[in-house]
Amino acid sequence: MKGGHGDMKYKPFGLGVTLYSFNVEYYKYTYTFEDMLALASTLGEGQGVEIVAPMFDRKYPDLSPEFEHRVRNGFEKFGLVPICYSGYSDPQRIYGRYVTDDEMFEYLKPQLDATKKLGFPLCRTSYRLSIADKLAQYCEKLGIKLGVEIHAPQTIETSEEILELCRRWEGILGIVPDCGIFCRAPSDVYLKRFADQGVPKEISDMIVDMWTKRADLEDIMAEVKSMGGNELCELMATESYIYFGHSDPAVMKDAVPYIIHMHGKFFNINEKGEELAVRIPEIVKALQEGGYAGYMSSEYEGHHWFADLDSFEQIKRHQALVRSYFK
Amino acid sequence: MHDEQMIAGNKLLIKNSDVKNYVGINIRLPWYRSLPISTVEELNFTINGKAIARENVTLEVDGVVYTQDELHKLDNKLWFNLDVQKALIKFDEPLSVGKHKVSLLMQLRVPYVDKGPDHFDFAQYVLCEKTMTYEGRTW
Repeated sequence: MKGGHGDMKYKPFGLGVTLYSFNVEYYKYTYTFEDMLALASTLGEGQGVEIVAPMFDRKYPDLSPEFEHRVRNGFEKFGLVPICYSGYSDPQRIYGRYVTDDEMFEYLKPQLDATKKLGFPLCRTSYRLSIADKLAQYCEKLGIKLGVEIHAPQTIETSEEILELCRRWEGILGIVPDCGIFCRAPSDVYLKRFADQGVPKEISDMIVDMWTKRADLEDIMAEVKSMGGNELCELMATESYIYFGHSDPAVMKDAVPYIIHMHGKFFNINEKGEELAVRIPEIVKALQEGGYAGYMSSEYEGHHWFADLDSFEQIKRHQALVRSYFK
Repeated sequence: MHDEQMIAGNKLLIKNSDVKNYVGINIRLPWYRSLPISTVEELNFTINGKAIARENVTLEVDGVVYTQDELHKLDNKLWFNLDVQKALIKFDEPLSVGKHKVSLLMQLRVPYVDKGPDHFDFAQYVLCEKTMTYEGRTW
């Protein structure tokens, strides 16, 4: 028996929720920021919360005194653990050109400062590799970590350049794998939505078949066109590629030293408690065998296809499902 | 995303100025997070099937009215995702009291997606069509 976790073989890693999961309710004014924190606190003691700064702060990328107050107040009141500040480098925020390296650094700097000030251990954002060293030095000075998300259609297997950077800056730069990269099939809610909207069964079946064979997006598109598929069919093809990835969860076991946070992306946990797309059991196994000691934020994305599903119920199911695989 | 909420409410207000009538329509950013206003590339309105000329659509942000080209320069101004902004439409023909079909096609540039070698076009095209009522009120 290791440590103090009962008859479990490994100490369970931390569970949390990213407030992105509730973005539909937030947008429709159903939940405020505080409502979401209150909900998160009912998920269990020591629940982690990840915030997406430009959802909540009017002064983004800066930290407004108002938002700082709401975060400190809210996390303390509801007994929540700050696990990740999600920011962005917004390379195309300027009309007609990409930002320069200096502009990108200046845009990220206040977000890194906010990460530190609000008590988050890490900032998740994309960034240009050309400013990686400068960002790492700044994070080292602040005492925070910086994680780039590995998101579909990327895979860990093809992220060698990023991993090399993480080796060079171990303990400061890391990766945040999004579990949508580890899929066994496209999601049932994605399939249902496109069927409901009128994609012919032959085209839908073909897209799934070519996805399973790991075809390039161009080839899937070409096939859609040759079958007479319309724009909706093309969108279905694109979404198969950008939402459901082919990375192997087992590769995470050796990558754990560079995994500073996990995005527990999932699409739909059905009435039987199953997530049909994301390979959750294998993900938990690889992380535990690798000794992962960080957090996983449950990230519900099913609302992209069905906005009427209860996101909080989905989050509860996800955390229960992940827990059920702890060994 | 959030297409149906892009046009806020269902009432039209007309502003009477000395020279022209303006229709004011409050619109929301159709995205889950705040974005710099410079990401709003085009606002294409039609009213009762008639396309509104580009130069006849302006956006009022924090009390200042901007043309569509001027919006492109506002990379340091944030459209907070819970806020509405007022689109002002120069509408020469008198608008009758009653129902009108309004549609907005917004071309939005999502600034954090890298238009790298994957050749994804991340201009989002968001369409919202609504029947709105003009009750004869002005502001």
